[in-house]
Amino acid sequence: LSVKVNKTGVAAAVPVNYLEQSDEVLMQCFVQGEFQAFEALYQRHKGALYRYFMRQIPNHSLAEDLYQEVWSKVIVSAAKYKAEAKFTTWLYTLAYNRLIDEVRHLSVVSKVIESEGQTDSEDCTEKATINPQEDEQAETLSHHRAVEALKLCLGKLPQAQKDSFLLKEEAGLSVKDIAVVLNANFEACKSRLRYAYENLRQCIALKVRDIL
Amino acid sequence: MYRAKSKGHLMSQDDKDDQLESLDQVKYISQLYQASKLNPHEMPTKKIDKSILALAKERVKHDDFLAGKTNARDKKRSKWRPYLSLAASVCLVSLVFITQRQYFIDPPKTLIADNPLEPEMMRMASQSKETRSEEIQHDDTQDDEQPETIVLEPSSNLLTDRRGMVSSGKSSLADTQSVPRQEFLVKQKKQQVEKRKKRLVDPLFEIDKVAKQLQSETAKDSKHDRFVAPLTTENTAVLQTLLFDKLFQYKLDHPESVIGNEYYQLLTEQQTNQLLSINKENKPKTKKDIK
Repeated sequence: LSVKVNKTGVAAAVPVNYLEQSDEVLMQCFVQGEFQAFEALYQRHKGALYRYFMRQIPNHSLAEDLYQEVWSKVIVSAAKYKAEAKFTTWLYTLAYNRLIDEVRHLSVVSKVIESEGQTDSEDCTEKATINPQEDEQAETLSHHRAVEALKLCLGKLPQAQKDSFLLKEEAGLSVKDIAVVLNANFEACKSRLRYAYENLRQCIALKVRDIL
Repeated sequence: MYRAKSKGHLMSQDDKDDQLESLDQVKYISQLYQASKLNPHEMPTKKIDKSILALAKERVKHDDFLAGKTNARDKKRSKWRPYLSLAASVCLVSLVFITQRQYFIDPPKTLIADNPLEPEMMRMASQSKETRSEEIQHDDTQDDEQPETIVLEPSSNLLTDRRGMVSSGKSSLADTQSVPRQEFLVKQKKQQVEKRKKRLVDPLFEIDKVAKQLQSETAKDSKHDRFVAPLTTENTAVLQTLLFDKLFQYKLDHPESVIGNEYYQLLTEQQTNQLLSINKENKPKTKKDIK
């Protein structure tokens, strides 16, 4: 990409706009030894991956460590990356696996949260049905408060739903890619996402009402 | 109840439109979440950025993970790999053949796994029993010991035999390692023979020991009361009897031996006469006959 052969047969360096290239191409360039390609790739995905870890782990220092480890893994295993796979899928698979390795007890915790989440959701549903005007009320609230409520509600979401939601919203992965990353069934992932959105909506409605 | 309700609600939505994005609630939540991303605090610090980029730079500069380089090196390696492995195999096989040549030329008929030395030793022992054995027989009726035959195998002979076997190809090189053990066994046998010899000599030692004890006892008695005749106490009497018994037995076993006067002096007149009568008759008598 960065080297072009002219008419005289002499290879000449051509400035490449890395920002225009796809993730997969950038990764290939990095494997070929182009540092700028990696820099562009990093700038593109650093925020999303960082937030992914921050939302998953309440301990910020641990989240930062995992974030660095995943990027290190990307650098070290760059040669193993195959261009056929989507880069974001590969990146978040690494991130998800690292997360699972580090916080294995999350599965146990998630069960507890899930049971709590269900009761919360039930409450939410009941209350939502009691007050049919709540949705309209929530819409009229200030945007800032709703965003803050979303962050709080995201913490209460069951782990499986949270994983799916963050991969969808942060990484921008499709349901199919989410299924690949989580190593789960497509339908299951789709279902989790729906529940996640529904739970979040109800939770936000409750929180905003409480704030008011 | 909640699940059924929500599921039913979702299913109805699903029927209308399969795409998640089309749901209003999804759009709303998604908008909120995208807005939360704008928070500048939720970004990695510059320090973290620097460390990661530095690592990437270092890898690009120094490491050979790059696809092109690794492939070239791998190609070079894979080109020579079969030849190298073949050469190594040939070397290994030839080394084994050189070291174990005798084994391959004339393999032993039987392989004794546990102790290859023992049957060989048994065979040699049976041979030497006829030709080179040294017998020490001891008929000790008092100690109820049966006559024993001890076979002495000189270590030098065994060593020469074993080495001869190796040189002639009858034995493998591994068997030569057992030669020190053979020497050890021969040494042990020698020690046993020495012990038995000592046992033969033991009666004399015992007689001497008893005689000394008796002497010291009589000396004590004489010191205690010089006017009382010696050999009157119980201890001395017992020791006298013991000494007489031992001398008598020894005389029976060894009729040609001569008992010294120092022993006669310690015994009573009757005992001395009995011992002397054995000499005169010049033939062994049992204790019972004399009694």
